[in-house]
Amino acid sequence: MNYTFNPSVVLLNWVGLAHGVEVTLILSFTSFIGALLFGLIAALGRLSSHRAVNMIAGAYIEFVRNTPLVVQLVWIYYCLPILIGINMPGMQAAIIGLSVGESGNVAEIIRGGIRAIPKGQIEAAKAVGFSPATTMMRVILPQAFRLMIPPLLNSFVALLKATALVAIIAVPDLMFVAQRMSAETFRPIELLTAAAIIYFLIAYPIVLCVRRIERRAWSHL
Amino acid sequence: MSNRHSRELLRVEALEKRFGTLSVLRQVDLSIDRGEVVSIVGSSGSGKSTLLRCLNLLEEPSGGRIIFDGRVVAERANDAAALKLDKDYPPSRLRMDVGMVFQQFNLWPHMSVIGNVAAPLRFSRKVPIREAEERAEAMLAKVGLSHKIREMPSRLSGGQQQRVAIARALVMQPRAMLFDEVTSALDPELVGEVLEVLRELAGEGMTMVMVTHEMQFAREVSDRVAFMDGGVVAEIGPPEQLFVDPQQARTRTFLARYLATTR
Repeated sequence: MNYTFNPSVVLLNWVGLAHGVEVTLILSFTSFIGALLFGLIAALGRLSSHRAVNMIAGAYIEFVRNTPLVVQLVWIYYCLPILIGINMPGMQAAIIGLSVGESGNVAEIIRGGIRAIPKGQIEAAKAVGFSPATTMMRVILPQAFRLMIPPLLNSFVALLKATALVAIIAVPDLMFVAQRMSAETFRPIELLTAAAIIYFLIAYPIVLCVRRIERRAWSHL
Repeated sequence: MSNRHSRELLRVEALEKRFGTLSVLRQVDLSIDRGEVVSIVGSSGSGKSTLLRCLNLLEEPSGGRIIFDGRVVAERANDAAALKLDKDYPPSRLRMDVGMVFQQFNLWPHMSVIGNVAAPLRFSRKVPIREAEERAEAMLAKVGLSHKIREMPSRLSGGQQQRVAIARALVMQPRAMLFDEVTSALDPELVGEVLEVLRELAGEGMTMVMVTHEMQFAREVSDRVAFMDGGVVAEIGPPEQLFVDPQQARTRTFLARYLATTR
């Protein structure tokens, strides 16, 4: 191997990398909020006793979960503008694509959390005259939310890692920046390794956090 | 039309309940007077719990009428017809007046004991939190749990949890109470403390309908005992009649089988 390792290239390019990190974080947070919103709607649809609503929500969740995210991203970037006739900036397409892509998993997490509340507790709420909304707000969600936090954080980590795919539609996230700089400087090992380490440094604390919450939840049982 | 002077508080007429093709209640008629304690006995699958759950509309009847305090709260001509409810007195309102306690306690584990008991007042009757907690505390004192009000339900014994559940229903000041096998999930040594609360309540004149396997207790506190079999009330009468001199052959068979298993 005649490659001389030169870590200083990372330091020389830190401004560019920092911009990439910024885009990655913005993408992760915005898309996660979108995924929560779409996921909540889909989950409520899935829990609805209305048959048509239930089927549409089910079909959406299954379709989103069983198609590759890359295909969804590229489709939204190239095909959606043709169909609806407006040009969509890459960043916008990326946010929509990631939101939709992760919303299937989020929907299943929310649905699972709500379904995990024993029926008897819901009957007890009915039996003292609670309305369905009060039952949801006071009995189901406070408990379901606690159950949902660890899997939702995991879902956030999955989304954070998935943002690296948006480089394919030319959104200047961390991965895109690292790739471009590697090409410009002929230093792929340093820059791509740096990118990997940065992703790890963002994701790992969240994973640790999840583990802590889960351990605490188990010790209560 | 509400009639506070009539003796009758709760009545079902020709009540039917089907789950798919399975007929669980067939043309049940039952009337309960104010202050009356009625126990429902029978083997499992006889429709006891379903009947009880129809009384506060946790189950929607497939046919028949339910009348509470002179008001038709639910009526359905047949399966094809829609269930007709009283718009001025919907099921959620009925349930504030007809409390229910379940076999599995069904406390809300994320709320403290006092939180569980105050919640119905706060969220159904819209009582301010401070007043709700004061009234909850008084009710918990009544069931002998003053020392446990800040505990979480999971820290209590089964008997204590069931007493919290009773306090949670009573705090609404219901006009009738439904008890669905409330001692069946308890260890034998914890049954007594719950029955004691029920006995006291009966003594105070509360209208009570209870599904129970505690024959001795039913005999002691009930004004009438109903024996259900195959989705109908096969026999109903004062406990001394039903337990000592049952008129129906199937009541005798049930009691004989019951005595054989408990002896």
